[in-house]
Amino acid sequence: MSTFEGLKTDGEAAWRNYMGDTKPLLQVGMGSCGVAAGAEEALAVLRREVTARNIPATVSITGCNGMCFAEPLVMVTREGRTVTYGEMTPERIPALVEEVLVRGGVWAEAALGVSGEEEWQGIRPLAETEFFRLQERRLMARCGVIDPENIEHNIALGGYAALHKALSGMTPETVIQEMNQSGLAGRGGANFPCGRKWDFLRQAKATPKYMICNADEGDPGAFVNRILLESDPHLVIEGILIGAYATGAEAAYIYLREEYPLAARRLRIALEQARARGLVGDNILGLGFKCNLELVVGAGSYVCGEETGLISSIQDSRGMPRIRPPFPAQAGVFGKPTNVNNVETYANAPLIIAHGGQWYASMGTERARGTKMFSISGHIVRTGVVEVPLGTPLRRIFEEAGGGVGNGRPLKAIQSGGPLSGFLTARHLDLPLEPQAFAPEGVLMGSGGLVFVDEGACLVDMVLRYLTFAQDESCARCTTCRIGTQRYVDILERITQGKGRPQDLDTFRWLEGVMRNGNCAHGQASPTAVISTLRHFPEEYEAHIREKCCPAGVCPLPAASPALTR
Amino acid sequence: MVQEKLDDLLKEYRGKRGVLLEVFHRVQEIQGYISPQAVEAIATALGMSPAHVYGALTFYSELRTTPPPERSIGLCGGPACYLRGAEKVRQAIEGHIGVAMGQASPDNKTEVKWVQCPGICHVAPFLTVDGKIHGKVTPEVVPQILGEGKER
Ligand SMILES: Cc1cc2nc3c(=O)[nH]c(=O)nc-3n(C[C@H](O)[C@H](O)[C@H](O)COP(=O)(O)O)c2cc1C
Ligand code: FES
Repeated sequence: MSTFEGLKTDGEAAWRNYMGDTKPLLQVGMGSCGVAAGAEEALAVLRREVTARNIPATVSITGCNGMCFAEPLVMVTREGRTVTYGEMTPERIPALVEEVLVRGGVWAEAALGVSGEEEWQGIRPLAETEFFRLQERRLMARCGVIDPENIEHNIALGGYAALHKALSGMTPETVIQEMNQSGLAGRGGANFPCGRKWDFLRQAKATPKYMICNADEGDPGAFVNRILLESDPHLVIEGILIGAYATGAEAAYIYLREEYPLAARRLRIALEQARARGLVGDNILGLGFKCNLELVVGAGSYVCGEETGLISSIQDSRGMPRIRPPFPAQAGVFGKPTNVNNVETYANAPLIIAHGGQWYASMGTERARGTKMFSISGHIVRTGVVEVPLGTPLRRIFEEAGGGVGNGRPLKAIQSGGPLSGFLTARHLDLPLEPQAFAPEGVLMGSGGLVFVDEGACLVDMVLRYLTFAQDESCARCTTCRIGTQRYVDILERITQGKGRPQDLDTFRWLEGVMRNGNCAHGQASPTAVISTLRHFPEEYEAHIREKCCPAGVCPLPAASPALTR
Repeated sequence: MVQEKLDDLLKEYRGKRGVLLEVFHRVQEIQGYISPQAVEAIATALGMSPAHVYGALTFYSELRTTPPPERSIGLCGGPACYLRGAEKVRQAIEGHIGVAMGQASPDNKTEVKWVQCPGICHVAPFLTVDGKIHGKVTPEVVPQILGEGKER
């Protein structure tokens, strides 16, 4: 049985050795974003070059630091300073080796920035670049820094210290008190206070109790959970264990979507390493606390991200959501009390326990505390993931971190919060990123996906895609959702073909009211994409329905009204 | 051979609960799909009715009830890929191999399907051929990618 002090000493020694003060360290960014950009080949070439030329250097891997747009990334550490190089495709690796290992310098043109606060060898700090300067990296502190397949790195840089603190010096009640004080709200979209949910489970009488980590991240265009799970899986595991201690849960599941095979691999490795060190299992850290943790991999169903669908899926049935109440805290997995939180929600717990709820609450806004990760994609220069204080203006994410649209066309719309949410206009760029500011505009801030859309897109066609997704993914348990989503798709299809009727818009509004009676939020919220665009972009529907044209030239219709061109 | 592997596998799970998805994934790894015989065997091993197992199986889009095609082509249906030209890539794929999106060729050699956004939106639009990712594709490079896929 390892004591925490022993683990810490071992971890620190391993980390010192890894960072090496004699040999340079080269880490290839191996998130699935890196892999998609050729990181596996880059790593192979790097290994070959270093071996063939007999260069004393450590070649290793790391996760993604959020700069997906510059993948493959290679981080080179020497004399305690790490330079991040971008677009290190296999073809460019030999040049990197030549510049930084053979000549022993830096490759200024390919460098994105250096770690630390001061310039180094003519390279500016990464933290001062446009992508980073608005960020507050807490959850992502180890992303793109450590080898995510090595638990010792996580421990050396503070991992599991909060779990140890909770188990050795705090009662479950004080853990929940800190969580309440922090103001942390769920990051999966519904924004429910985390501490209160934990308290429901704590108060539940029946046993055993279960903790579930929702890693289904089904919203297309959202990949903040992926970055955490691939780059620092132990942070999430530590958070789940803290939750289990606070609530009295003896078993926990991580429910992961099957589209994330690399995250599955990293989680399996992480769980094995944690079990071997007595961090998961019976008698954790020798402090008498027991919690087993299992990974369950889904099979391509969006509604399995809804908590009751997820529970049904874990217990061997069709992953169909059901009406709540009862809530999972009363009847969850196998009918037992259960708590479901998102990956990012759990990831915040170690920070809160380590630094205190008050410290946490000092970041963000009055009504939305802490930092939040956002994935930015679509018509934007820099696709990637950022972590910012809640309340940061959307504009800073779009213009500074994202670099704007970048193709000369103006921004038309912003899709936030996935398929159960809707679209904002470019006028909304000054909204602060907090759920409460989005709600009055008829959309959700959601779980962190922000998709930017330029003037070249047709929103009616795009909304049709969103509703087609909603229809495909409806579990069909309730008629409202099954038929309702179908009706939206039928009518939208007709409109894009120039066969829309003015009364279709009334049908959309009426149908939204009907779908509010759906069993779960999938049906209830599916109309949001339609309703929000009706509100913010009525002219797009008008053009298709009255003038039988598609101004963006996407639908099979004339780009301008036939009446005008005649 | 396959039968033996299946029997060995199911022994591990006999009488357990909360394992059905894992069993499905592992059977699909062995067989490429989940056959009616496998459904019966799973039901027996886990103490469920075949109807329950079949019901769960058919809920999930990534589980197969028929043998897989020799070659599977996937195109991302997510928003970044859509905004960056996936629709034109779809047309190019359909044109090149003569199979419509969501379908398999009659001889079950090739299928084309939409895949969910796996959050690699920086390489949008992307397609996969038997799991291998090709990012930032244009209609022009589709024949090259798929031609290469055919020879393997
Ligand atoms: C159709 C549907 C899909 C959902 N998908 C996810 C998901 O992928 N990840 C997630 O954390 N929450 C998802 N949710 C929300 C969950 O039901 C639940 O509110 C959440 O996991 C609670 O965690 P939190 O309080 O930490 O946010 C989904 C909800 C619905 C209706
Ligand atoms: S939209 Fe295709 S990878 Fe995200």
